[in-house]
Amino acid sequence: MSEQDAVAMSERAAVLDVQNLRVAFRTGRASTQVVDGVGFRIEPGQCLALVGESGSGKSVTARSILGLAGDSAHVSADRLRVGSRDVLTLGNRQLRAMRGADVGLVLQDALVSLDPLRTVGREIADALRLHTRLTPSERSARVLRVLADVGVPEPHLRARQRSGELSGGLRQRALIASAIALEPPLLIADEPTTALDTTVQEQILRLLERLKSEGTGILLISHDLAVVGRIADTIAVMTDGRIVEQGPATQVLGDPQHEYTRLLIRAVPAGRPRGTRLAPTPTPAATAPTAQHDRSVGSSPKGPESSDDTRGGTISAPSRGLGGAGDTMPAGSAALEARGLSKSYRSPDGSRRVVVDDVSFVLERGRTLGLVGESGSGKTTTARLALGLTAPDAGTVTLGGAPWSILNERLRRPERRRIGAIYQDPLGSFDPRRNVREILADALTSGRSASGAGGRAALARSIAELLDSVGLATALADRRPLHLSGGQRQRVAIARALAPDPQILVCDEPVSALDVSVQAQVLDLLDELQQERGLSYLFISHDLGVVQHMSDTVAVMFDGRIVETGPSADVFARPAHEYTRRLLEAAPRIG
Amino acid sequence: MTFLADAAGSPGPGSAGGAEALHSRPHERGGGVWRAVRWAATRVAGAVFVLWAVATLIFFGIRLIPGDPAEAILGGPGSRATPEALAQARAEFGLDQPLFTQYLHELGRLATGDFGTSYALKVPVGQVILDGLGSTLVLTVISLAVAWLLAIALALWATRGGRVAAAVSTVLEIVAAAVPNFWLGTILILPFSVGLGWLPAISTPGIPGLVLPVLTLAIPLAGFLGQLMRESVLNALDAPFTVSARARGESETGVRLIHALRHAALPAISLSGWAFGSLISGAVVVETVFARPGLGRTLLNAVLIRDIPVVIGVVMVVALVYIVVTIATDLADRIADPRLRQQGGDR
Repeated sequence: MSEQDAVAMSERAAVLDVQNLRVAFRTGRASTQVVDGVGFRIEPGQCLALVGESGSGKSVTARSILGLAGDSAHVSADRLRVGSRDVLTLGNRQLRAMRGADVGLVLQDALVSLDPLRTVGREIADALRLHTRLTPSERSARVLRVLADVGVPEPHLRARQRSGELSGGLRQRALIASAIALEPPLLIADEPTTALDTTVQEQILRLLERLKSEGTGILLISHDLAVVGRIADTIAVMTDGRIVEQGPATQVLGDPQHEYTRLLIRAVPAGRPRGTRLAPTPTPAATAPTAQHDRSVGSSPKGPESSDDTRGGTISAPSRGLGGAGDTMPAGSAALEARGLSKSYRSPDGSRRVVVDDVSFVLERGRTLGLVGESGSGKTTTARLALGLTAPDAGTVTLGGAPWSILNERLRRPERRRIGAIYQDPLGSFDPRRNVREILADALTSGRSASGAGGRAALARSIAELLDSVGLATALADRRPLHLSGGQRQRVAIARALAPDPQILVCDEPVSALDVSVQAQVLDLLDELQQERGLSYLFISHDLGVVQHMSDTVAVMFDGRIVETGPSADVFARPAHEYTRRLLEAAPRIG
Repeated sequence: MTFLADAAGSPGPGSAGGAEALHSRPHERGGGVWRAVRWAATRVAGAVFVLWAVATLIFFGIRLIPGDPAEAILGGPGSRATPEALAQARAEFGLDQPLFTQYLHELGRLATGDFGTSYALKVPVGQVILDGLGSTLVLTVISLAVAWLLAIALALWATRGGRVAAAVSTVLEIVAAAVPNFWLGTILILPFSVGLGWLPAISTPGIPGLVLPVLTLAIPLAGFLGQLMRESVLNALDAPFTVSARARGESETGVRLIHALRHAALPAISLSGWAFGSLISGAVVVETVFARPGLGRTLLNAVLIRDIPVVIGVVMVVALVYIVVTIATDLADRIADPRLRQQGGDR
């Protein structure tokens, strides 16, 4: 067999073969190149991971493979083959015949990726209805088999439920079932585990791994290197529409060649000691007044060696942040203490559901208490109790030794400035009609307008200081939140929380909606602010890596209770509780 | 995979239990019945309250119109009734009693379903209403159905036919939603009846007589519903689940019919209760324009000649129909959107 034949053979064997794929979107007369010369191939039983941050063009690449890039997209390629089909030459009818049968697509979040008005059984059966001549009863039998195959217990019950009635893990399995009902040789999974809890993510990854071992070729699209490292054979790192590095997973993760890959790997907080910087330089580009800045970090990385060393590596926890601004309490004393907190809510059917159950913790001054747990474990309710936004059924919260939860709101309101909060989605917490300056002015003056020229000048100075302290350019003050990037919005949210000069910040999933590199910058910023101002953080996250990186003390929440608490290093090194161990095992990490 | 074992073991329950299986507890089914009973009880209590409020408002409100009801009984101001005849008529209809006593009497009669006797026609009001109700219900129900069909067609065309269709249908919807019934009725009569002579200008029994009145009522409503649906069709076509459907090999038509249309129907169903109310008030105008017998015309005449029992009776029946339709749309909402059933909350 000649060499050419061998090449031809292997080309025939590929389930997906892409060469020099280019996608441009036309809006009016302007045209934007979103994917610029991307190429890769996937063979049966192989998994290629396309890694990049939002806007890198990875999802458009996936849609183009299915011929679903949209009417305004101009797709061209030297080669775009799914199995033996040349996608670019296919007509609409042939494309439809290919979708579902030759390629399956799994999107993020089955809650909205399966029709919420239809049962998952019907959604799965649709694939069979479109591509086979099975009778309805044969189809439902097949649906049950596929559901059982992806590990859905009691498939005959689940098939009759809708995505909203299923738990996160089950509905994601159902979504996968709808994509693989016809056993397509290629599965495209676009962020299939994003927004899932750690243990559920682990189950979904295991399912994908099994499909792979059974011979399905998988194109895995993700922003999360740690997730990808778990199952990918090959990793392609994508930014600004180009693949900047492609190679075997172990090589890309272990010995990254391209600067952007290194930046992504460094940004992963898991296993990085408390106090080490995650982003390259002390929030360098953050001041650039463009909404695209978060993305552009990768293409123009600042000095590579300027990171850990500028900080002198790890800072020993006990010495951190003591004697910060406005500190009137002795070092190490409790900034916030919760004792025996309980809270229950009534379900629609009349029964009571205990959401927080006898929770106690101490947040020491200038330290970070990490609260980690999966969705529904009671973390956010605990945050609301700590903020005095919800009254506990039992137990008390004290703020700096003084009563807090038992105060009535009239007495509590003047004290509210002592404790601030930032949330996962800052956009929803801003009035969309106000610009950054107005948002911060409100927070600084508690809604009263500044009086006199002197007052206004002082206000303008305070706003400039606040923006500076969170690494935002003053020019951004005139922008509305909608026109800021995700990272910039979260910085504005932090600035707003800092405006009344609080001693405590409650951070509820503050980085969960951000890209890894932006997340790294925001975490670094929080770290800096803590040291400068002696802030105490109640840091809530479902992400073990983030919590480990940020916390002095960790409390693990499960089913409304704190099942384990202790110094961060101890809990992560020697988890005592069974649930903590399970969480740690499920957490994907690099290396 | 041990959890797969019990999948085969447990028998499938009825469909009612299946929907709630994720959150099921032993008492779940009983709780569902209790919830349904409570829901029904709230509705009935609400309906009774609304009917009482309507009766009260009408009873006192109609007395604000100047003139003597006794004159109306005797044939209107032109009848030149003697004072004795007026006094006798007052005594006969209880109009000489104190107002509050009359009110209590009226409530008592209404509670037993007795609407009294028409002043002008001297026949039981129940009979008068029954004569008109059927004709009006036929008109409004058909109009609602036609409005829905037009709205669906308009929404599908607007989201399918490209930019021209979108622009044209937007204009159509706005114009349709903005034209008043009485004007539209006249405008339709001119070409189709007067000009072409295809359809009767005055409503006659049978289908041809229904066409123009129905269109007059349905077109404005269709414009309104169409706008609503087009928005939701576009939202649904942007949703991730339609991407999943297309990636499964679903055609554009399939995506619209199976997925988008159902989502688009939800807000329109919720508003259909209100729409039905507006159709009934529109029927007053349309029945007058097309000289069509029905409750609307009955009501208008009764108000003009101060036939108080007929006015109260018609308004009560219309209120009752409105309540029933509202409950029906609420139920339809729950059928179309399973998420409402699951939450178990009243909207």
